Amino acid sequence: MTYPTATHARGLTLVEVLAALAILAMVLLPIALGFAQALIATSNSSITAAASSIAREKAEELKSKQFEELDSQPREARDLNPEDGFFEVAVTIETVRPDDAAHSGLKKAEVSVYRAGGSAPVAGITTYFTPYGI
Amino acid sequence: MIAKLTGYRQRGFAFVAALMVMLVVAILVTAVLTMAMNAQTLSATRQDYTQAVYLAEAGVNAMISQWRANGVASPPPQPYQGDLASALAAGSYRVTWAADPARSDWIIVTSQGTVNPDFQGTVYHLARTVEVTLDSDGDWAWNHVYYSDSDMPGMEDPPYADVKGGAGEVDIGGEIGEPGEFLDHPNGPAGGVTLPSPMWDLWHEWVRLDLTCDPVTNEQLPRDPDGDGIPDPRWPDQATLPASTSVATDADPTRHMYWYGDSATTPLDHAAHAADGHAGYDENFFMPDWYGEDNPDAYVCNTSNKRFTVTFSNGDYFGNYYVHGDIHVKSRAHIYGTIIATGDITFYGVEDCTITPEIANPEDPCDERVYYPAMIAGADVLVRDQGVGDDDLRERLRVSGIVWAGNSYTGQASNIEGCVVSPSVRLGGNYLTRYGIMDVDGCTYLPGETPPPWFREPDRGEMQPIPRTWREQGL
Repeated sequence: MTYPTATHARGLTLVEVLAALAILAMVLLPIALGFAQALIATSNSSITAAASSIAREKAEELKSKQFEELDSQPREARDLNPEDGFFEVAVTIETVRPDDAAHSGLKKAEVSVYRAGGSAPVAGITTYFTPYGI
Repeated sequence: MIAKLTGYRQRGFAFVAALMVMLVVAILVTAVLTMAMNAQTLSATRQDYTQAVYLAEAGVNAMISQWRANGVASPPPQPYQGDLASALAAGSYRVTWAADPARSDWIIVTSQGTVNPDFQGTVYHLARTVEVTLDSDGDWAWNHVYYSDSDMPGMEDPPYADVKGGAGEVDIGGEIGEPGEFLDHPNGPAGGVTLPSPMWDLWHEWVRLDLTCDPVTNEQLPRDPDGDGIPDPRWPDQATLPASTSVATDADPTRHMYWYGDSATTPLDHAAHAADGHAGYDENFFMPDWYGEDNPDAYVCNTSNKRFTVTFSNGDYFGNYYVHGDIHVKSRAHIYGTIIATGDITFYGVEDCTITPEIANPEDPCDERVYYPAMIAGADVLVRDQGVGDDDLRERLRVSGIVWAGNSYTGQASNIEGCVVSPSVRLGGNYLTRYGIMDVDGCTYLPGETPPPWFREPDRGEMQPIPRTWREQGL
């Protein structure tokens, strides 16, 4: 009397293993990619949030200045944690309307936050300033 | 048999279990991925939200700047909108405003900043609205200074604006279109920093502090209770003032104060205002030094619960007159100083009437032509019933100085050598005004550019220019 089970177990083990590996690979690959994408998204989220906070901090710093003192600033290291060295911030001031006796000047201020050494900003704020504005 | 069955079931369960594990893992990964993507969306949204707020603020600032550049009387058209792109995203703002129904000098500004398209493609058309309230400091910070300008086509030098005879009236409100020779100068107290506010409160406060007013009597002037031949300067309500040459200068050249009340001696202590060699009640803190003793001040003081009506009849009046109430000027009254009324100043059918607050200043020849305030009215300045049809009628009233009217100015058949500062101006026929930019004997004048000394000297009441300030009411 033969036992089909034993016969099948011997004959199918390798195939089953290969098939299982193939199936596992097909299943694990998207999962791994998903994990990687999640890690990237989480990292981007952190970077954007931190850069946005830095941009806002810089914009508020500009608001606290006198209108005449508003001037462009080159890229400089700026981080939420000063020891990180992860971000750089730059300010571009463009005079839209010169100040006059009626104090109606207008300057465009653009705050850009970059990753250290990066060429494209990751966060930024653009606004106008006027001597008697808000 | 049982073993067979068990083995078969074990193999099948393992496969199912493997599928279940993979399913669970897939669900977990999907959840983690979703959370991560949501976090990324959230951070991007926060970035867009921040930018939208600053776009809204940018709109308010751009609108304020444009408005100030135009002059306070000429706001930019609504809605005020524009684009403001950044390196990350395009943006725009849209600003509207309306008067605050609770306070006429407040403006509620609503600005909407829009980030569009979004940052990193995660959020679309995020908008943020900023509402602020603008107000102008000072109760007397008005919008308009009306004057004539030689730069206008066809204007002669010195510049003048002439409303020819006729019964028709010209309303000049926020838009200066007719008759065309008038300009609305941005240096008005509300819009600029050049022409100061008359600082009514300060004057009022000084008078209230410096003069002790007894209850009003209805005695007629001149009054001479001590029989020394010198009428006491007491003005009852509805009084018609005598010419000051017959009372103050001739009677007592050292007494430069009139006051209202029964006290025969001055209740004043002007030591606090003594300066430049003047002392006590001689101090003439409203007038520049060179007015000196020959131009005494004359005040009608106020009481807290009484309004007065003071009439200037024919005669000469030297000094400044402060009336808590109304002033009525009649024909052939010649006032060499400033008349100040908390209510109205009226001229009804007057002729040969002048108000001349200017006087030669030996220290600065250019100040000879400075137009000190001629009239300051808390409510209306009315010049009516002057007649129409004859250009000479404009000489019926000649005012050499700045006119402030807190509510409105109505001019007819008169000659204003100065400018009119008022929220509302209505001009009738035979109206002539000369002012603006001129160069006479090397002296260049702009409205209010050389304010009177009491606007400049701290000892005489520090008169600081009042820039329009904008107060953020809320975000």
